[in-house]
Amino acid sequence: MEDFRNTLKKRSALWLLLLIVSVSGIGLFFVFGGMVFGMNVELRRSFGGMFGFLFIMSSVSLATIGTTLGDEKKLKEKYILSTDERNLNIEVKSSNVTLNIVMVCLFIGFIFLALFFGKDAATIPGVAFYGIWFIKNVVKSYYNKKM
Amino acid sequence: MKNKIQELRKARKVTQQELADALSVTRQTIISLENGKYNASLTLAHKAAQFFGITIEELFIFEGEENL
Repeated sequence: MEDFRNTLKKRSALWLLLLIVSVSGIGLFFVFGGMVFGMNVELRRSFGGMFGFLFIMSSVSLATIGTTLGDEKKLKEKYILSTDERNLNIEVKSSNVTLNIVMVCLFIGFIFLALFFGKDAATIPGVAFYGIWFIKNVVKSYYNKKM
Repeated sequence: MKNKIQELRKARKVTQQELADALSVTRQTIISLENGKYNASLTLAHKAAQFFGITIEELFIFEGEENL
């Protein structure tokens, strides 16, 4: 349980850092983007959206972690939810199935685009498919050696 | 794999939530174990057996070839 409390504290430090980054980003690119970098309104809005999203994410996460750390009952509930072996198994299986579905979709997209739109159009799904396949095998061999 | 969790839990008048708290798992895990939808890990099986004061073999009944 103490490990989990420390993990949450570390996570809150990370979210705090992201909150600072997001506020700085909003200030630098959205508010003063025109003056400092000569950005047009569209570009400033895009940056504003990105950093705004990060700001909301980090604020909500910080508030959630703060509430959890301040309430022992909630902390225990979260601890059980995050360490429950059935939940962890579900997470592993669903991630694996999702990855396989993404890979199948990418492969179908790759074949479809290559057949009907030429190899240039098929480059992105092709690279993504083989990239994911390669990373998956590297990660697999890492855990194969580790376990 | 069958188990006697529900039987022993009811005999000792323990609720699913109390058992879940004692084993540090969610109530849903206890429900799934009792329904035979989920097979416990060795660690959880050990904890459950300790809770009921019996051996793992007495709590879990392995029925030969199973898809693990």
